Amino acid sequence: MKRLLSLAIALAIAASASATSMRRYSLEEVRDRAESVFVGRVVSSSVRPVMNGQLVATDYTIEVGEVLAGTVGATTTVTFLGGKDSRYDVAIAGSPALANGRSYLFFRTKQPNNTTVGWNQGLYRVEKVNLNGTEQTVLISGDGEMLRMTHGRLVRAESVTVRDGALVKAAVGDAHAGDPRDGNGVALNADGTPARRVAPSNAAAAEGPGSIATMDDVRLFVRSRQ
Amino acid sequence: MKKLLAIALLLAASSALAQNRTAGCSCGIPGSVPTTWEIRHVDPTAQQAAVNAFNTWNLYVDTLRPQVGSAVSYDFGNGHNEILFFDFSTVPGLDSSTVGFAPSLPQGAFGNFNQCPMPAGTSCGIFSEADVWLSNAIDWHVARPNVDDSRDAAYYYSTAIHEIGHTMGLHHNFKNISTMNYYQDFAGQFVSRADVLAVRSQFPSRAKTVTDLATYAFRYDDTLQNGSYGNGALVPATVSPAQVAAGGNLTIRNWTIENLGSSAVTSARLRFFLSTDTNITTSDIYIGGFKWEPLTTWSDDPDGFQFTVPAGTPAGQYYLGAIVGSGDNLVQDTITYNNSWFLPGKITIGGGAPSAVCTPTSNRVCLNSNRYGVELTFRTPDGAQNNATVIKYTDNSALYWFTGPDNIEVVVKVLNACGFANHYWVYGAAATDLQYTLTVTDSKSGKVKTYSHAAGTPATAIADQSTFDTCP
Repeated sequence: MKRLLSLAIALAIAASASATSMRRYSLEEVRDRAESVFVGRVVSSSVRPVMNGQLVATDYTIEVGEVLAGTVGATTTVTFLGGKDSRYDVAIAGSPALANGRSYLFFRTKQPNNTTVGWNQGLYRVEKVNLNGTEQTVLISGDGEMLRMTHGRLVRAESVTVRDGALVKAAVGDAHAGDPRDGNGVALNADGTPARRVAPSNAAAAEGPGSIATMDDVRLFVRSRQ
Repeated sequence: MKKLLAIALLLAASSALAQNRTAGCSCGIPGSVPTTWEIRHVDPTAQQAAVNAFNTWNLYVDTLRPQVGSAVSYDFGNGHNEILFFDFSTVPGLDSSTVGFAPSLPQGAFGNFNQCPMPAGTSCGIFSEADVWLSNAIDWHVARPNVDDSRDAAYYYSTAIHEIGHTMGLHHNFKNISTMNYYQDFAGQFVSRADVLAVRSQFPSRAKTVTDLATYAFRYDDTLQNGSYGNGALVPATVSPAQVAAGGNLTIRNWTIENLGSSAVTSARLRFFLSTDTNITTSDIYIGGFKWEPLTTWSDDPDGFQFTVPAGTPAGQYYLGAIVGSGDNLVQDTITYNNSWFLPGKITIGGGAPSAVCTPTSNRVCLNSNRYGVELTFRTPDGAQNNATVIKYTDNSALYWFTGPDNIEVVVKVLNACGFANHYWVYGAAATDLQYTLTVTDSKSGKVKTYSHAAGTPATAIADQSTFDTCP
């Protein structure tokens, strides 16, 4: 009876928000934890209750274009907690929401979770952008980070958005604003004499950002998994 | 009809809330403060850990009332705020490796949790319920580990304090030292200045008047993070060399001090001590430190300073620790959990006259007739710091590997150029784009030089002909 009551309350409110702590994986960990890796286009979605009706999940139907690892049929599903339709409206902060008709690269977990590794960490929008007059494919994680090749390695790089077919660097808020660092402290030895400042270490000059990763880069990356 | 009512309530709540909000990394607020929490853990140790996690926030804002509840399974939507362990492995749409989860009702009250600060115009609401679910697949540890303990990834306090922060309306914060960050968990166990500013803004009438200085054995450099989520941004504090004679110099860098109190501290001190154990006290051997008059916000030291080990310091092995406090008597505040920290590795004080030799280890090679010690640390892409392993190649040169001896990453040599250039020269080259730090110590002069390389960048060659000028 209690369970039914809570179900009723959940459906009546039909809305929740949550903040989820995922382990932050390296790209290699994302790859190695995935049961399958594939590129596909979202063709439909449906929302269903899970966990005895206390939350809902959205199943996205994916028309698979290319399988990079694992066994995946021509059509498959990927599931994310939360969802919205005429019956439910359950927002889960951090849970990806896919757009119908859009293509993604999926690093999918095993069943029954059937989701992407680390949610946004294992989900990449496949976007076409115009770079210097040439159309190029870019891969942008659910967290907004573009994949680049830096020094022969696939890396998550700067946060970007795509606007009118062009890459735009995402604005990042500065939470330190209004709380500036105090000055340096006065450094003293135990006997009260001044301690000597060490010259800053000669950090190597930062490299350029590297090249934008292509699907071929990702294919090689996935193929090299253990 | 019920849905319309819920929406109406949400709008009303948002409207009322908007009158009290100030800028900060937060959105949404519990509907009833102080908030009663039911602890659903069965194990008494876990129960106490949960109480401690709630009370860590209560140090700054009196908002949480944890109590041990009955050991029932979760019941999200029952109107109770609960913390519990949960099996994530069978939840559709949730990665089973999820560490923690803080669901709250209703929708929209929390805004976008990755936004900090919240964009102007964001509507924030009132939570009717919030829970904290922690994965039951993790071997949680509640004892405080060392900073380099791999069990930190499953450290209870870091996760619980973080998730409880969400239930108070706090969002992720990737620009600061913050328990609401995603960085390594040893740092996440501390409620930081950024966090305290956020909760004071959230609960101004519940804010406590406190004095609280904190020190952390790391520095936060958000230019070093991979992507945008904090990993890699923590730069651990270091001390070098690993061996020095009494009267010699120790170079210390990357410590942070924060003022979490309600007002500026007129005479703040961060002092370093050598201790034979990990309980750092003012009775240990004081070697120097910093003073701020006043300390209003926070500060750190990226460059480093050389502090002189007092002559007469007994030979032996010591931990380097730091304590923060006020005034020359180093009076510590009553919020003690963040007043001190120590580095996990010991350093050796040689005693007597400066030692003319270095002692080799798996990480340290001694070149040029055992005069120059060379050490190398590196960080893996997930941010973990490791010692490289050295292979001494000749008396002047050495090779370092990270993952296996068949994959040499760095070559280093120290050449005696005293005969024609009146210096010792340090050369190095690397075949890696991982972050690494190379430390060269002249055990005769005590002079130390650190060469750093940022992650994800090509390594530039080291050709230092000027630092080591003590000849012969």
